[in-house]
Amino acid sequence: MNPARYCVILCLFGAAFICCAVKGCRLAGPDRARIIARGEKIARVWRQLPAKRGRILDKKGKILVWSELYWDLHYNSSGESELSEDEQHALIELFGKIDFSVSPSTPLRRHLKPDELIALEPLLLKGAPLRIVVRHERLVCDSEAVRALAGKVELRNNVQSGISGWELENELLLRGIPGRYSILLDRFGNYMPKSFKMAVSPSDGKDLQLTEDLEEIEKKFKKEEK
Amino acid sequence: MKISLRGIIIFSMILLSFFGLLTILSSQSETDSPYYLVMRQLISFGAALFLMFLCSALPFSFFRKKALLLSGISLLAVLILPLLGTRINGMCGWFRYGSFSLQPTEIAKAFFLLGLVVLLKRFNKESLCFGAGLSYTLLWIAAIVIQPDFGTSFIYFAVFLSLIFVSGLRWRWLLGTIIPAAGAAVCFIYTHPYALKRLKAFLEPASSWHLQQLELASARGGWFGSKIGHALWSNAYLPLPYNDSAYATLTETIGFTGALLVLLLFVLLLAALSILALRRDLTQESRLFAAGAAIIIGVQTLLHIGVNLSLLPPTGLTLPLISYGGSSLTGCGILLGIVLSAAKNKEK
Repeated sequence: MNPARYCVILCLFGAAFICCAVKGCRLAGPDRARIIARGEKIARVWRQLPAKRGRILDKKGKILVWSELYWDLHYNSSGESELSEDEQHALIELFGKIDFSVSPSTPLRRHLKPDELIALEPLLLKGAPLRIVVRHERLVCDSEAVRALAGKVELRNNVQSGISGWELENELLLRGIPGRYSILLDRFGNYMPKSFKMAVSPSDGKDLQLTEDLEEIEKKFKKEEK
Repeated sequence: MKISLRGIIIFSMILLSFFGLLTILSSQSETDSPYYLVMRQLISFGAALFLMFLCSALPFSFFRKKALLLSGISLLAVLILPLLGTRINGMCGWFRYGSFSLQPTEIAKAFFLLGLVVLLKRFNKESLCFGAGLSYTLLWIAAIVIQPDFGTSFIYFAVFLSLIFVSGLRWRWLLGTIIPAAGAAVCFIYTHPYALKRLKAFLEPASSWHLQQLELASARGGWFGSKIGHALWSNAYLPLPYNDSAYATLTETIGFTGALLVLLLFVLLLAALSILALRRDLTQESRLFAAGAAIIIGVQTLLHIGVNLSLLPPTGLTLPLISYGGSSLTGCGILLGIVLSAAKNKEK
């Protein structure tokens, strides 16, 4: 045993430990913000939170057209991972027959009910490659005249935009401003818990109050139809 | 109050294992059963402590006499791995029985070192010492490379190289080993595309996804870390956060301050082993064994931490006493137990 030579090895160890400490110190201090920003770029995704479109009311304040909030179940966007047999089994148990061959843009299940959302939570927290997409659907009261005159909306980037009738004519008033939120996704494209950040809250569209009531609208419509 | 070297070694071992449990808990916080691996590691920790105290109770002369037998049995276990072992992550390095698995190369480190120390001191002639030691080491490395586990074989080679250096053999033997080994390493890198890819990624860190994630996990920890069990990045992005990426997970959990404390604990452990290696009242074999144990733990620790801080290309080595793995922990327990036994083996 040569003590001098052993001390050479100890010196090398010491130098290596100092290098590690210095690098660790840099990562915790001066370089931290830059590196975290780089990581956020990799993992943080920005998504839109749709604003609720304004309602259309008649002169008396009766709601003719309105939006309802729905939750749909989709595959997550990465497409890298597939549902395991257990996960498929859990979904079948929850919803009955389900078509697993759909693309990520098509919902696996539409209009999830609150109890279904609660039942899905454990599966999502376990990292199943699924996501829940929030969507507003436009509904019209039971009136042929209103259905014809109100026009239609189209979903563009998850935002309802009027394409005909009152919806198009009053687009600026009815359309709200969608919000923006961000989440971190893991390497499999799954949501990382506790990473939600709301950047801009959505501001809902304003209601449109018509100058005629429902009866007058229907009468006018029938007359025009004749 | 007199603090003994024995006390320092046991204290460091226990405290480092505690940090290991913390790392494993943090790496599993977002999973279905966060305590499963912690409980398994706790059982392994009990086994490691038991084996450490058992080995320390036995006289070093027992290990010296049985060195080649113990080493032979371990080598045989490593050799039959390709026939009876289980392949995990492309490496046939485990015996598996139900949920119990055993990685012989981790447990065998102490016995490899024991055999090498005995061989280096068996012959009077320098060339014979070197020849026996080299043949013995190459046999081990060949058995490990078959798995293939290049990281562990590198540790074995580094131990051999360091021991022939500290045992006082002439420089020509050292250079005669380093030059062909460097040539073999270059050939290996050029014939294994994944090794070349890792090296290139290391030289261009911006293109290395793995190294970036390791840096990110450490950076997120900052000075004082995120909450315990809230190692978000390690859970989501690091490959094997409780094993190959244990130091980065630990840094994310307890921050640079805590990670520095772990570094200092390793320094303390190595200092205690080195004091034993330099003590003149111990036999040459005991001193060489203590030096070898310090080198095994030191090299593996520095390689693991170096990789986790993006100072070295990825190697896939675990962090002694901290990373998850019963074989690794019990292997460390046996190694430190034999060192404690060697510490009692004084020159007559």
